[in-house]
Amino acid sequence: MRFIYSKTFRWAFGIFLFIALLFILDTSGYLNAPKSLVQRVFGTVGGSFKKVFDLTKDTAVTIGTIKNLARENAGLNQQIDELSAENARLQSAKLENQTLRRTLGFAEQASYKMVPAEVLILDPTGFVQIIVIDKGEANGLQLGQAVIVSPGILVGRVTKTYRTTSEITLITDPTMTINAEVSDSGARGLLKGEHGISLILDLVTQNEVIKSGDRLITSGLAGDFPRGLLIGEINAIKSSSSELFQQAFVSPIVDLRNLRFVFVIQ
Amino acid sequence: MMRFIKILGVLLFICLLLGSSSFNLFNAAPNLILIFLCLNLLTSTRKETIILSLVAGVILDFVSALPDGVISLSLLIAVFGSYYITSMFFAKSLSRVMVLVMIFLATIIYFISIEILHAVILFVRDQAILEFGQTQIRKLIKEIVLNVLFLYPAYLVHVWLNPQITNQNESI
Repeated sequence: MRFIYSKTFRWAFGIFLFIALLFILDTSGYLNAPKSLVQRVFGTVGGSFKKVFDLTKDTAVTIGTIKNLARENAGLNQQIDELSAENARLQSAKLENQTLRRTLGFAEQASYKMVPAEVLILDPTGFVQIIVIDKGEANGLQLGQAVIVSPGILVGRVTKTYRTTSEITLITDPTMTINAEVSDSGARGLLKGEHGISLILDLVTQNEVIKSGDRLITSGLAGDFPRGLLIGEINAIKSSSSELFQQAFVSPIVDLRNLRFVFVIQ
Repeated sequence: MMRFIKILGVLLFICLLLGSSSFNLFNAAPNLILIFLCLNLLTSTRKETIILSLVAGVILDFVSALPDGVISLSLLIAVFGSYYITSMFFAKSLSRVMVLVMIFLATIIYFISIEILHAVILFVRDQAILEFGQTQIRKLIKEIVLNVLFLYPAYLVHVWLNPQITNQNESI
């Protein structure tokens, strides 16, 4: 019997056809509706599992740390006092800035319109750093919009939209590049994701001053993200006099694998 | 048929757990679906394993952000590839070492297969291909360790679903 009439060949050919069809339908966008539905169902049910896991974990952690609560509370109270004082100073600076802008005839900085969204799924394969949120084209989401968590911390960008859901590529994905600026020194560089582990700030010239603990914000240079969104903190620097540029390893401010609510800037 | 539905149910449950990212340990997760499919191929028919692989693969394809078809095909390649390689070196009867080697190989083949298929699709779509570096190797090592660690619990669940296995393969 020739091989093409064998059962094995028929099975292999059937599988090949099935996967090719899946790929073609996905590329042409015909699978958007069923994908969106599966993402919603899995997101909702999986979310319930996550809540139970988180509750169990939180309870265990609370029991473990209960003896340190008083000391931690005192520390946090002190931190609140310091932040309140800093907030008052910043409010005053903001007012001064607005007055000066008006005097000099500069354009007022626009306030953003934000769409709140709940995270449905974090990519389960780990090969790409992507989350799925419960808002889509029906809510006015468009490709390229920045995604933040409440206090203006950047988490990613909208990279695919369906009718009722959207895919957000996180800042730690290797395909992401962000024009970043060190908030203290104003040193600029290009930030790249490192497969969900951290970020690398590259192309920082040797004469720029950067140090561990410095915070990075979006520079808004390429127009892909609004200026001033907090990205992360430098935790190590790789610099050599023989190299043109210095590099820095950056940790995101938020735990990107445990996001629950985000805001899309429109 | 009942057994098939039970295994399918367990696979869907694992997909849900993976979707909820509750299983993340050290920035990696055990690939329980791959373990289950390998165990299923060792104790059941090829036809059943193909159907289960495609069902679980399509769901993961839909839930993940990788191009559709990549996970389905990688699961099939990993499960059957590792099976054929191990059966070349081991006797037909099951043993602990054979299962361990099969999971070890399946994890590596699955990882490489996803990376290659993803790169090919990016190339076809004229998008930038990502470099294969230390980060991926670290991830692969973590996944191998986690898969080997989670093999025994997964095997116990598999035996619970198929009580006849213990009678057939006392050696495991």
